[in-house]
Amino acid sequence: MFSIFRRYRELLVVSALIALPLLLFLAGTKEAGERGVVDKAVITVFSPIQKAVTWTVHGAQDIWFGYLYLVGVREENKELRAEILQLRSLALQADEVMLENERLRELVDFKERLGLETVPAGIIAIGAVPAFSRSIRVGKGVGDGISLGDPVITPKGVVGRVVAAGPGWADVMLLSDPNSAVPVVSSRTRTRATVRGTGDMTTAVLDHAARTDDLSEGDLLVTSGTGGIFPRGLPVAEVQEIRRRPHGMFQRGEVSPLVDLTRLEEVLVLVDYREDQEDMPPVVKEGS
Amino acid sequence: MIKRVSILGILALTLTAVETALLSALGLGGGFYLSLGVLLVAAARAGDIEGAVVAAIIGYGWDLFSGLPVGMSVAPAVAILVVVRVLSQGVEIAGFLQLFILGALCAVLHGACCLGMIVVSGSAVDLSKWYSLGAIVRQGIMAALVAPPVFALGEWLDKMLVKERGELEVWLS
Repeated sequence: MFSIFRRYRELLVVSALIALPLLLFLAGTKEAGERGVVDKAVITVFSPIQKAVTWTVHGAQDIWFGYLYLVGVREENKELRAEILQLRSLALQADEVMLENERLRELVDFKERLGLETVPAGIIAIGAVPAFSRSIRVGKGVGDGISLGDPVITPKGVVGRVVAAGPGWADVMLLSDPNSAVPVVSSRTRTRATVRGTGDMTTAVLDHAARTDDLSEGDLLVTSGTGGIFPRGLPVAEVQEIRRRPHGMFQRGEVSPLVDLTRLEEVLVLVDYREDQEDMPPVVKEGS
Repeated sequence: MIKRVSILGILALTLTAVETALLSALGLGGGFYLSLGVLLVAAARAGDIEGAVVAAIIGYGWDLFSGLPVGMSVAPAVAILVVVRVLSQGVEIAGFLQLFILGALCAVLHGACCLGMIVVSGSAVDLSKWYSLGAIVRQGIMAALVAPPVFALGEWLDKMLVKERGELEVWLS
């Protein structure tokens, strides 16, 4: 008997390992989920492995999805910040366009009121140090009818005159340039004088006013029309201070240009003015 | 004496435990028969009895960790081992392609056996969702993919820790 087992032991063991479980299963001795002592012991031994795997996978998932979430939030944050900047920029542009619109409307009104041929021009360059710059460059030139000596004005008053011009540009010597001298009259007393630049953008000097003439602080000075550069009646400056000396022919004073020369953006260039200046009436009602 | 059975059995149970935990944690639908590679190691390196015992442990593990009635996968696992050993007369159990094909074949055989047993027993357990034809094919592909690396791991362990072939046979004789 034992020798038969030894002879066919492989066959018997393998057959038993197939047949016994099969019979047990077919006999239905155990339902799914029903566990014996050995089953429970095996599960108990291996459950820590399962817990470790589950913990590791969930941990990795938490890290991965947390990272993705944070990346998503960061991206969204960046996009929102960019959007805010864009909207702010648009708002500023809108404000800027509105202000420009106002300025241009004022310029157009002034141009119509002026009744002279003018070329509107934008400032394309100023001196590197604005506080000391004495000239500006506008974006219109000889191709637009601008020529040397043309007066440059804004609705507020005289800016300067063209001292150089090219095809698409023109340099304007400002009122504040020491070489600039504009013949003026007091709109109140018709006293003649000259406003001369000092290099300072906010202050000019009053020169060549007879010592006995009536000039006082607050007087509005307008172009006299003499000198052949500026038409009559353009506002130039306001008297700030008068210094009368006890001797000499002239009194001197300080005036402030009516145009803020440091904040120019658009100007009007009076073209072809000098040719017909003899017939021109005062361009701005004096005292207005 | 029963070192090989212990090593391969523990490895198979561990892999099955890991597999079921992964399936649960990752929310995967079907298994990938991680421990089939161990069955192939048993078929390739163990003696008949050792291999059959290892196969029975593997089948037991499948049942135990899958919530199946214990015994349902034991007979199919041992039968699969026998089939593989018969095939090994003509095909060497080594190399990626052979292991790939054998892995797929074993998974499909196991699925087919389980379906057959359900039919024969009229089991009240609803296994149709696990052992539908599509699921069997899908699991076959997965098993084919994981069989070569698991076989390599099992073979390495077996070579490291078990010096001789057929220890259990020697002990029984």
